[in-house]
Amino acid sequence: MVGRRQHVDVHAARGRHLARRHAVHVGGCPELPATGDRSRRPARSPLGDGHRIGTPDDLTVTITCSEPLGTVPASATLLYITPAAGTNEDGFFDNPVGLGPYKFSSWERDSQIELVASDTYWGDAPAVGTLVFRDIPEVAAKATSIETGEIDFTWGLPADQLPILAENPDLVIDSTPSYAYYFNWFNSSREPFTDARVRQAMNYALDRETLANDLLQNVGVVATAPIPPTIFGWSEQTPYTYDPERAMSLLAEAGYPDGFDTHVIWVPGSGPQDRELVLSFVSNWADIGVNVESMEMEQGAWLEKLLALDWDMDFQTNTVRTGDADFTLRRLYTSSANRTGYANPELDELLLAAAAESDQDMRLELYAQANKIIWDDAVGIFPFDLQTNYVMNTKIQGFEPTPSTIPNFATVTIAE
Amino acid sequence: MAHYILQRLLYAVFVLWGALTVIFLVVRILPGDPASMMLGAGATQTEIDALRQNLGLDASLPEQYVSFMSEAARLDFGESLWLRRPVLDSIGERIAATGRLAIAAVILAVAISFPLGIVAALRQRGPIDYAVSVLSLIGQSVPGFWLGIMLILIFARQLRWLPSAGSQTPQHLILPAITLALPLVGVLTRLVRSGLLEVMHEDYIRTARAKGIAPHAVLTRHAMRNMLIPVITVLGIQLGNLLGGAVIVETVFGWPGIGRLLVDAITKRDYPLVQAAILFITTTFVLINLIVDLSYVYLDPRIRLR
Repeated sequence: MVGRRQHVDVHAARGRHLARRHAVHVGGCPELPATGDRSRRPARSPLGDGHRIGTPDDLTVTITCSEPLGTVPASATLLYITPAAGTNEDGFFDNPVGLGPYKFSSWERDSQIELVASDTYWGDAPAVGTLVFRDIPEVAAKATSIETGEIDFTWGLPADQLPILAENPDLVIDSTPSYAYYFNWFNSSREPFTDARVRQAMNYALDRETLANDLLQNVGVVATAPIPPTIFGWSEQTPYTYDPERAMSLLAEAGYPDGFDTHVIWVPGSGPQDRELVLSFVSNWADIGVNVESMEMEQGAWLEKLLALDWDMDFQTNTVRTGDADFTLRRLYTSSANRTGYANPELDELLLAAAAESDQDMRLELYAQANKIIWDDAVGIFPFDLQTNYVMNTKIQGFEPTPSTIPNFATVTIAE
Repeated sequence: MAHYILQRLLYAVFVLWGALTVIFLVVRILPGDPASMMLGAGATQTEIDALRQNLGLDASLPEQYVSFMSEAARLDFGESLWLRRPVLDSIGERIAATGRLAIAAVILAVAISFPLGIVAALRQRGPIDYAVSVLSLIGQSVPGFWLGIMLILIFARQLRWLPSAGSQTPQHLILPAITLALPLVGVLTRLVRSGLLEVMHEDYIRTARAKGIAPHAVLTRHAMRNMLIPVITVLGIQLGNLLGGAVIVETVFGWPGIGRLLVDAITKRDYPLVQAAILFITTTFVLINLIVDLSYVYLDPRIRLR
């Protein structure tokens, strides 16, 4: 059950008030488009199949799950409250309403969005009155804009831009752990990745330390588990330290003393330094006799292959959106999800039990076991956890980064 | 004349129909579909199928084609699957930004290339001619993305004369317009130069000179007009190209033009938006070609349209 604050007032952009009927629904899965029947939603939901959401009075939301679910508090971060009349009315998305410290002011598509401080916000009013978010796709232009003071704040610049910006006395660079990480999955239903020893060998072949230091610098660190330490349910594992000898002996044990040919699919732009990382991996694997073809793909073509399990290895970034291990581990690693061809009844049991358990300490214990199985059985390679770097003008003060990489400007002040 | 225009417009309808048919098929041949793109990597086949049905993508290809064409004939291009609003609204928003950039680039290109081409032709084989030839070759060969980034690094980062990216003020227009204009300067300068050189050796120019007409009048009234036809043709094609969106320059400078809209729509397999954007671009091309053809009559009275 979720209570709503009594004195909230939805930005009265079009005279809407929370006191009127509003619909509550769960994000985390993309909504259906405005055309057609919007009452139909994808069946999969972080709140489980068959859950019901009710609004018994104007200040209460109830969530009723069809089975016990310990992940409700985390998944509740994906709740949206929207007008009951529906969001498919003309222009709703051109003039969004919300409850936050800022309200929508104007939007020039592919160019900029402007927000202004809300005078009806229930908390402390933000010190900065207007926020302008500018869309600058090109890295050189973005780095130039922050350096010349055209913009005051940016995030997600590639590592190679940071040393130059660090020399600028007007700028501060802040790096913080995020919910995002890289993985390189194996298709465990395909030879030779059906053998855990082969998957482990591929892990030992990678020189993660060197790549993290030289390529990723302060945008990534060597991972310690299948999910980053920012996530509830993380548990530190024994590292796969760089050991080509051991990799080769594992391959020989598995019956591949001369290595084998395989491929990895990936989409450019999925994460920082992705091309350089794939090429480095391919070169590391070549050292143990495994000849890997790098298959750089377009998003749509990649997705079709990925979902059809029509690949040997898949390299990409992933984000644990709710900050809870369940969002990623149960969604991706159960036998029924069948995302990697890996099936392990023991892991299934652990992940389902951890989701159902409402004692959070108990959930941590269950996830510790699940982490260990995924890591030791090498369902994939989990090479790096990603950090978000923020570059801001020194006049920006009081910024507190969050692992969700959704910056909060409500606490920020601007020094004169 | 009216008959000619009518004939050309009828022909244009066929061109548009062909373009729409090709793009209708091509977006559907691409691997991946809107439903799986919208639901992302976490979706199950059941969910994808349900959404496909919801979007009307489960109908057979001929069925989809017939309904698409009959709607297109009524100028109804539907809603964007991602943006959830009429596709024509999305395209309409970008036309102004794209038009501003394209026209600025063309004006700039004409303003630079005509004087350069004329000077080079009048001083044939002189040092100015060689310098102009080298410069126009460079203009044609430099890739747009590199030039754009260099201009940002020099004029925004080092000199701080101009803003780096965005479209908010008139100053924002300068760097992207230069980036788009430079290759055009290369082509036009060479055309103006060679066209003028050819014309200047014609008998009627000698006659005009013999009559004692002032050199600048010979140039502007007799020579220029006769070398304009190939220049206008190329200018028309280039303007059509620019109005179709300049995705690389738009990306480098964060310019909200139609090129980025189209590339986003293709990446997301947003069929209605791709179809409508292609239709807009094709229509622009056809219309510009028509205007170019009509301009021939004015430039050369010997040409009669039938």
